[in-house]
Formats: sequence, C-alpha cells, structure tokens
Amino acid sequence: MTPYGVIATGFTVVLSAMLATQLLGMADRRPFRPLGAVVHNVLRHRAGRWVVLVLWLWVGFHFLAR
Amino acid sequence: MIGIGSRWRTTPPDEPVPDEPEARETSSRAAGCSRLITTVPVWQKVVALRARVDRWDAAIVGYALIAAVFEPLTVPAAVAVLMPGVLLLALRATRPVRPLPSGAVSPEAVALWLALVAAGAAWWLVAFLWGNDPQHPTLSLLLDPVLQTYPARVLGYAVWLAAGRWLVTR
Repeated sequence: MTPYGVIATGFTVVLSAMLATQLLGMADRRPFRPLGAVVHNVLRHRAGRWVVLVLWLWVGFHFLAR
Repeated sequence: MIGIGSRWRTTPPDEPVPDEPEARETSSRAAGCSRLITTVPVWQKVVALRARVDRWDAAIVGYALIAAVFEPLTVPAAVAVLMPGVLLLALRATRPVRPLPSGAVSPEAVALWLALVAAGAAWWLVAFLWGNDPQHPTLSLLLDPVLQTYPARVLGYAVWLAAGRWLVTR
C-alpha cells in the first residue's frame, strides 16, 4: 500500500470510530455518549470553554481560509 | 398542529381526542395543558424538524453562500472566517453554560472521546512528519480538492457556523 493509502486509511478508521461512538451515544448505549454531551460538559469549565472555542476557530480557519 | 394530517401535534386539554386507537392510547398517558403524540413516522418527524428552522439557520446558510465565494488562501476568506469566529468566541467565552443533569456524562465517555481526538491528532502528526505533501497528506490536504469547489465550501461554512451557534447556545 502507498503512503497515501496508509494515511487515508488511518484517517478513515479514526473518523469511523468517532461516528460509531456518536451513534452508540445517540442510541443511549452506556458508557457511550454523544460528542455534544461531552463538549457541553467541557464547556462548563472556563479553561475548557476556551480550549473548545479556540479549537473551533482553528478548524474553521484551517479548512476554510488558510 | 404541525402540517396537514400530521399526528405529531399538541391539543388543549378540553379538545376531544380524535377517534383513533393509537391516538387514544397515547393521549391517555399524557398530562398537563398540552399533549404531544410522538408515535409518528420518520417523515413526519422530518416535517416537524423543518418547522423548527428559524431565522438564525437562514442567516447561517446566507452567510455560507456569500463566504464560500472567497477561495481559501485569500484575505477575504480569512476575514469571512475570523469575523463570525471572533464574535462567537467573545460571546461564548464570557457567558456561563447551562448546567447538565448530574451523571449526564460519565468520566468513561469523556475519556473515550479524548482518546479518539488524541488518536486523530496523533495520526495527523504522523502524516505531517512523514511528508505533509500530496503523497503523505494531512487531513486538510486530503480535503483540499473537495474544498476547492463552491458547494463543498458552502457546506463547510454552514456546518462550521452551525457548530459555532451550538456552542454559543449551550
């Protein structure tokens, strides 16, 4: 397999695992929880709020503007 | 009532319940000033969701349609991202978040998501250190051909802004 294939497969595996976790969380299968609930929990803390917001801003800038 | 013929509706307590077995059974369990009948097909739920679309959704789509005109690596694109980005960041960072019910999120769930994000970041680092070129692409390089197209950029802006709205409204 080419390096391109290895890297693309790795990203696909990670994103698929995230999707599966999200779906299991939405189906209320413990201990899985949807990403939204976890992020909401992180937002309760001031430092966590800043981390999430800066990450969100970076994602937008990196993918849409950079 | 949402939509003509929809079974997903609210009825005042004094209004007679329609003479349908399913409706009778569901409404007999309901209490309070209104009753929500949720035994509905999926397509009717979609109709109900559409009814909840508000002016902010329209604003997000409108902004995405305009911002996506600017191609990446240009000053207008940077401004188009930074304007709502900094505004929402300032709005969210200074306001408290609504509390969650106790036990809504277990430490295991947080650890699981952290592990997944760490795995993604580690793989991104591998691609970055391996080459960060078309043969060894990071996630952004993989998505670049897609984001070169206007419809994909519209979708990207819309999803990103919707996430920002979600963050501000917690």
